Amino acid sequence: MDFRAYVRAHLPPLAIAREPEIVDELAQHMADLYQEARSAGFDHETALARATAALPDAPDTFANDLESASRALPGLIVDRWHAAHETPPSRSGSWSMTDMLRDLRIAIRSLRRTPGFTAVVVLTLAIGIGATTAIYSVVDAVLINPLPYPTADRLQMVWVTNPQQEIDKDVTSYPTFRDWQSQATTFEALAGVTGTNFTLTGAGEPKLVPGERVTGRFFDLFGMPALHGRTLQEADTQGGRDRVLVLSHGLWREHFGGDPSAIGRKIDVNAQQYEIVGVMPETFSAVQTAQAWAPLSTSGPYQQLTENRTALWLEVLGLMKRGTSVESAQSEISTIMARLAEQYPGPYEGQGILLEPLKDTAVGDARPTLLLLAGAVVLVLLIVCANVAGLLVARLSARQREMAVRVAIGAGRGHLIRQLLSESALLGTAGALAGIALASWGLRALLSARPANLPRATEIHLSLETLVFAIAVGLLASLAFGLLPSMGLFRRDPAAHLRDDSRGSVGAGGRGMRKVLVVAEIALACVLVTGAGLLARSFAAMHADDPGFERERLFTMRLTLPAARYPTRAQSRSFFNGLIEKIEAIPGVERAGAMSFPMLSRSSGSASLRVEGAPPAPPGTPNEPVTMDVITPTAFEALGVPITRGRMFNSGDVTNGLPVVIVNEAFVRRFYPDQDPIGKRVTFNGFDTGGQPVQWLTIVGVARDTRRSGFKIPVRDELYFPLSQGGAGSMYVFVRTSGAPESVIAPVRSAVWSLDPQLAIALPRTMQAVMAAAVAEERFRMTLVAGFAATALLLAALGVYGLMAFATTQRLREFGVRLALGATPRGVLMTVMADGLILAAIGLAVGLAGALAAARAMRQMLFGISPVDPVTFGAMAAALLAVAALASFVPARRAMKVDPMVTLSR
Amino acid sequence: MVLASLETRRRHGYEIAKLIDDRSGAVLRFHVASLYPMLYRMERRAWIEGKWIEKAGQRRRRYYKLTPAGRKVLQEQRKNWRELLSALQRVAGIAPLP
Repeated sequence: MDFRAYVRAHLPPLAIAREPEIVDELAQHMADLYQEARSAGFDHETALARATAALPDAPDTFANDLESASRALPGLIVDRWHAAHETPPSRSGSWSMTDMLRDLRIAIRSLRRTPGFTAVVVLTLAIGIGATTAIYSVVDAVLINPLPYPTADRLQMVWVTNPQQEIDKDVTSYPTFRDWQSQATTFEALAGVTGTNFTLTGAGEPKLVPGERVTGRFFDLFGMPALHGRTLQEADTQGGRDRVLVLSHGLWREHFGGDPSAIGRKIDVNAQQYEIVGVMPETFSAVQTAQAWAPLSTSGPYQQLTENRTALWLEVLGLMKRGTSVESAQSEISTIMARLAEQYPGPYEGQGILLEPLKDTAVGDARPTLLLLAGAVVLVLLIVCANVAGLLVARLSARQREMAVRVAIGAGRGHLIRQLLSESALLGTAGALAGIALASWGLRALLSARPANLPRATEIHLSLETLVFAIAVGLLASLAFGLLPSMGLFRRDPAAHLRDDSRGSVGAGGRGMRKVLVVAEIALACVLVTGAGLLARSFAAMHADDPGFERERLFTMRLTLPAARYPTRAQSRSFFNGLIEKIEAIPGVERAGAMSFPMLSRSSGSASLRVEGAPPAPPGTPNEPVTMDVITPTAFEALGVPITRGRMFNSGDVTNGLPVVIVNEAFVRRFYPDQDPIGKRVTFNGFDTGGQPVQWLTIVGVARDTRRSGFKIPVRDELYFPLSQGGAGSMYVFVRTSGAPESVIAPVRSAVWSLDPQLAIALPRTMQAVMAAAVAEERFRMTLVAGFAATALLLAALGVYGLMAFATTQRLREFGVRLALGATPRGVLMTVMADGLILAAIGLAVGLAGALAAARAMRQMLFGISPVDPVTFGAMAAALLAVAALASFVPARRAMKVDPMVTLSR
Repeated sequence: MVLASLETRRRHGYEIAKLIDDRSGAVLRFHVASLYPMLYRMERRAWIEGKWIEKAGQRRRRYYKLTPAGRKVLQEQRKNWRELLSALQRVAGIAPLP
C-alpha cells in the first residue's frame, strides 16, 4: 500500500520545502500500520481503517504543528539543499491570507468545542457593548451633538443675574431688551421670547397648545427657513399686522393633517382670527416645546408690559457674530447694563449678565440623569471587560498544558499567539454583533420608557461613533486579556508547565490576575448596587410620601379663558363658578373645585412677605419662594385637603369685603410658631398700592401642607386667595368622583362646552397619572440603574464563581491530602469560602469608597434619604457578600466532598 | 522517552511509536499527530538527526539517531524524572520511604 496520495489528500498543504519528505514519512508510517494489521490477520478494510485512523481529526492543527516544528533554522544543511532544488510555495509577507483563514477556522473549531464558555463570553460582551451603545446614543444625541440649526454654535441665551438675590438666571424687561438690541455690536441679532398658550378653535375640537410670542427676528437667529410659507418678520410685530401664526411641524401634521394648503388659512387663536403664514421643519422642534409662534406686538395686551422697565418677563436669545467670543459678547451686554443702571437708578440694582449656550439651556435638566446613566453604563462595561478577561485567563490557564505540549512538540510561539488572538478576535466580533442587536433593541425600549420631558428625543438614533467605540473596547478587552496571560505562558519553559501540570496545579500568575479582576468587578458592582439602592429607596420614599391630598378617584384638567372673550375678572369668576356647579351636578361626581396652579408641579412664585407687627423689609431684600393660588371654596374639599384651623372661604368673602387669605401649615410654623394665626394679617413688601394705605390680608384658615410643588423641593409657604376676591384666566379644575375618574371625562367635557363651545380642555388626566408623571424621571433612571446594577451583580457573581470553581478544581488534590490528614470537610468548606469572601471583602472596601463618591455626586437626585444612607449601604454590603458567599459555596461544597482516594490516585 | 528509544540505535518513526507502546505496556501511546512534530522539533534543536535510508526491497525510510547534544539532554531529563518520581513516591506513598 502506498498512502502518499491519501496523506496528500488529507493534510492541508504545508508552506515549507520539506513537505514531500513529511508526506513520505507519514505515508510510510501508515503503510507500516496497515502491514502490521494485515500480518495480525485482519482483512483489508480493517487494516486500512487502522492505518487511516492514524491521521489526526484536526488536520489543520496537525499541519501547523508539522510546519512550525520542521521549519528550517537558518543554516540547516538539508533545508538549504532543498531550497536549492525546489521552489517553495510562494508566501507574501510572513502571514498570508491563507494563514489567516486557517487560523480563523481553527479558532471557530476550538470555540465550538466549548459552547458554554463561548456563549457566556459572547453574551457578556453583548450586554456590555449593547448597553453602552444604547445609553451613549442617547447622551450623544441629547448632550453632545450640536443643535440641528445651522447657527447652533453661535446661539446664546442672555440671562440677567442678581448675585445679591441669589438669582443666577432671570428674564428681563422689554425696554432692556430693546436697548441691548440697539446697542450691542457683538450680536448679529437678538430676539425676545415669552411663553404663552394658544387656544385654537375652528378646526375640530378646541385645542390648547403651548406657544410663544416672539419679537421680529426670532426665526432669523436659527438660520432655518420655513418648510411651507414663511417665518415671522419684524413687520409682523406692528399693531394690526400681528395676527399671524407659524406652526410647528407636529401641530401642522396633527391638527391640519400635514396639508400644505393650511398656509393662508384663517383660524381662531384665543378667540381672535389669525392667519397661518408658515410651517417650520420637523428639526426646528428639537429644543422647542412651543407648537406655534405669534409675533410679540407692542400694542394690544402686551402694551403695558412692553413699556415697563421693572417687569421682568422676556427671555432673550442672541445670535453672536461670527468670530465673536462668548466673553466679549457677555462683557458688551454687561457694559450696556452698567450704562442703563446709571441712566435708570433702581431696576438694574445688582444685576449682571450671563450668556449660556442655547443647548445648555435646552438640555440642562436632562444632563444629570443622562450623565448618571452614562456613568452607570461605563461601570457595567468595565465589569464586562473584567469578566471577559477573567474568562479568557481561565480558559488559557486550563489550556496551559495543551499549549505547553504544543510548544514542546514544536509549535512556534508566534503561531500559538496568532491562534489565541484569532480566538479573541472572533469572540470580540461575535460579541460586538450581538451587542449591536441588543443596542438597537435596547434603544427602542429606552425611548419608549423615556420621561416625556427628555429633550431632543426625535434626534436619538443608534450612534455609529458609539458603536465603533464600544466594539473597539470589546475587541481590545478580549484581545488584550486573551494575550497578556499567554505572554507569561511563553516566557516559562514549557517543560516546567508539563511538570507543574503533573502535580495538578496551574498558572499561579493567571490566578493572581483573575483575583485582581474579581476584586475589581466586586468593587464596580458595589458602586452600581449602592447607586441603584439609593435611587430605589429615594423613589420609594417619594412614592410613599403623603402628597397632602387624596390622589384616588381624582380627575383634573386645565381651562384657559381667552382674554378677548373674558376681559374682566367678574366674567372669568362667573364662568368658573358656573362650571363647578354644572360639574357637581354630573352623576358620579362627589365634589369639584378649581385652583390656579396644578398640583405636583414646580411653580416659580416668589414674594417678599410681611406679617403685621414686623417692620417692612429694607429695599433690595430678595424675594423668597411663595406659592400663591386663587381657589374656589370647594377646591380643598375636592382635593381632600383638610382645613386644620379656622375656616374655608365662603360666600361671605366677596369682592368688596374684608380681603381674606388661607395659609398652609408651613407658613404658620414660620411666622406664628406659638400663636393662633387666625385673624392675623399679612401683606407683601413693596406691594404697589398706588398711594393707598397698605392692603392687609386677614388669615381666616390654615390648610394642611401639600406637595404642591412636587416631591423634589421642600414644602413652601403657601397663600390661597378666594376666587371671589380675585380672578384667574386659567385654572385647574379638580373633580372628585365616586367611581373611576375616567368615567366622568365625557360628561365633564360636555359641561365645559355647554358653557363655552370654543374652550380647549388641556391636560385632562387622572391624578394617578399626574403622580406617575411627576416621578417619571425618577422611575426612568431608577429602573435603568437598577437594571445595570442587577447585571453588574450577576457578572460579579459569575466572576467569583468562575474563579473559585477553577481554583478549587486546581486544588482538589490538596484538599484530598488535607482531608486524608484529618481535616474536617467543614474545615475545607470554610477554607474555600473564606478565599471567596476575602476577595469580596477587599472588593467591597474598594467599592465602598467609590460608592460614597458616587452617592455624593447623586445627592441632587435623592429624596428623603441621605447620600450615606446606612440602610442602603448596609444592604448593599450584605447583598454583595451574600452573592459572593453563594458563588463560592457551590465550588466549596465540591471541595468538601472530595474523596481523598479518588483525587490522590488520579 | 523518544530520546531514550533512540539511545541504543537508530530507528524510524513507526518503530519509535511501537517501542514506546510496547515498553509502557500500551499505557503510553503516541499519536502520529504528536510524534512527528516532536521528532522534527528535536531534530531542529539538534537533539536527534534524521536521515533517509533505502534498504533493498523496501521504500526509503527516515531513520533518526541521537546526537551528542541529545544524549546530554536525555541524561538531564532522566535526572529530573527520577527526582520527580521519588518526590511523588514520597508524597503519595507509592513506595516505602527511604
